[in-house]
Amino acid sequence: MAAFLQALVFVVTPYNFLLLFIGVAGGVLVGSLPGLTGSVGVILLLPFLFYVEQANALIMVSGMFCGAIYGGAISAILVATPGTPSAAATMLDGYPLAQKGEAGKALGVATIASTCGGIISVSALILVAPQLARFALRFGPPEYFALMVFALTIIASVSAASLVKGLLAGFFGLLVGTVGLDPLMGYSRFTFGIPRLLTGFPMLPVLIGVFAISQLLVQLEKVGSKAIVPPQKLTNVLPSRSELKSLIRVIVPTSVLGTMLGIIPGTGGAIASFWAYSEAKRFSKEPETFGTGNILGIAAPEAANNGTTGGALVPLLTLGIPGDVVTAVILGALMVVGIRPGPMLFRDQPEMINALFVSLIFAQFLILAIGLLSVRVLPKVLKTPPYILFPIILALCFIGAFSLNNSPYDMLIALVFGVIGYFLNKHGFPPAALILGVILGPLAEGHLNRTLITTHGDWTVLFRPPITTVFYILAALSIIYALKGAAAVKKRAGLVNNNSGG
Amino acid sequence: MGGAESGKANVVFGALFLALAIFTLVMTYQLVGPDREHFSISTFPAFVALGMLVLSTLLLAKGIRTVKAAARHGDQVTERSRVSLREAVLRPFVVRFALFALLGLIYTQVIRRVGFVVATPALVLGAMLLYGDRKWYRLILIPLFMTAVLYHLFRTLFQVPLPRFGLW
Repeated sequence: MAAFLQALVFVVTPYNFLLLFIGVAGGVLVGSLPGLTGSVGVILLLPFLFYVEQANALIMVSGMFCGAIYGGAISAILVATPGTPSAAATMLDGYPLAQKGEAGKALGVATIASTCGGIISVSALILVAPQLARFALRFGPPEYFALMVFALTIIASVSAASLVKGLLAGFFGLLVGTVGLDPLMGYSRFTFGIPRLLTGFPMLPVLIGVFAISQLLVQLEKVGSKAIVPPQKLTNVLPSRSELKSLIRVIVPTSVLGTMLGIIPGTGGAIASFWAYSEAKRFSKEPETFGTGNILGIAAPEAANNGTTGGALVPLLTLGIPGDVVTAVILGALMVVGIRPGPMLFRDQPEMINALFVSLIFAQFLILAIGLLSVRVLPKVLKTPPYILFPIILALCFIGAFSLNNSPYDMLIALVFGVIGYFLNKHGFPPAALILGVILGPLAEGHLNRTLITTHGDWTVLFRPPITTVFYILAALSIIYALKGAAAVKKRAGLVNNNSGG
Repeated sequence: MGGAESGKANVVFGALFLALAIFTLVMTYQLVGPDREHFSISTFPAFVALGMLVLSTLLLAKGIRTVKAAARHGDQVTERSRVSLREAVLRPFVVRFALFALLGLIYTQVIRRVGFVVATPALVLGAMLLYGDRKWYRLILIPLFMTAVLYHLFRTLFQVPLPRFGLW
């Protein structure tokens, strides 16, 4: 309790609270702008993270993560373009309600549901994470290697369209991660006598390139296309008391669903929100009203996708493995600023973890305040012309890459990986798989080599501890699940083609 | 993207990744590291290269199959519509894409020589033109304003040693 009070005092100091506010507000802004996701938000925040303390960096990044997940709902409701993939389900009822002239209420419901989902999710994080971290302290190199193998199978889950392409992107990422000095012995690999390559490809410029610059290139394709105009004026933000009662009955179970799905690596907000939407529709007395502007159809996905935020932080903070794309980027960002998520963080820096927990709770209330108070501003934000927004982001990307080592070489790496990321994305190779390979590859190799050195090359040790078997089984299940998902996507696409073909 | 088009893309990417995998595999045999029986710095890269080799072969085979199937059934897209698609969408974008990459490349090469304060307004101005802005007052004001904001934020507040013009 004393530790929590200490963390509370730390977070509410004006400077720290301001940083949290910047993180959350920035997240809402980035999430609300179509074309920019939470991953891009975290990357744009990176140059600033070098100049704050580690605890503040963790707080800002988490605030950005929560804010961006909520922010995705704003453009989904106002202009029928989900700001983030997890807000796609919100659009199904949010936009029709906005079309009926009740955009304010749609945003109000989304804000309330997001806040409740976030609070339930963070509570679960606070309860579960320390126990799991305590358990993970027993892990040795073989267990960590098995864990990394499991984490790498998340690549399969981000490869919805083609598993082969997803795995190829992941292997390409692993290859990129092997350039430079090997993680254990310090011998150079694939440097071709170029001194700059000894340090490998720095993670920050690679992240900036693959996620931010490639996205700017995607937006370049859309120059000249007509955008949907958001409503001019938003009123009646708060739902009535009777509506609130019916909302609570949907928000609580869908928040729990989102939290549970968030904890499972490889699921993420998009799956949670669609699942919650279909459950809300299944249990509704008026399922036929879903898709026409039912407020429960807004509340369910929003509660669920914000429910995944705390859940997704459980494997990230306790085991150091990302559960989805955004947490993979967060992991990379934290490693760049010197924070290594995992059980050791709980043991060695509990004050930082407590500060994070407290700030995550505050972040939910900040989302509520920002969401309800900025209703008049939101349509104006969505009107920001791309010819002003994207050039500014481009300049920020370059300055962010530069600030790592004060070197234009890092800018060039960001540009090159931006072009690579664009082409891969364009042809169905998920850039998230590439990044997972870049981040997790050196970690997996380090644990593998450590195991082989300590056991004098005995490979069987990798399979002996019981927990490693659990991780390998989970890895196999993760791939089977992804294969089934890919088959379902193909089947659905086939049906659509057949139908459209008459 | 039509079946033939995606098949061709798979062939190109499959071939590229296959070449990269073979190159990496060859390179791993030339790596110099500690001479230990149970441990080698080339183990992991060799495993990665082998994985890429298998996957890229699969992609290449899939691409060839798709292209052949599309050729057998006859492509649905007529030559005329294909040309008009190229004219309407692809060509302007390819030019914009090339200019974007060139702009970024020039920026990364000249920033050390001309300094942040000179290079950044040019970058923002060029990007604004590429994203379709044509209002002259915005094209002057926004690059200058943004450069001033970024300069003060990073140079004054965060004390990042942003490149300066050589004569300053």
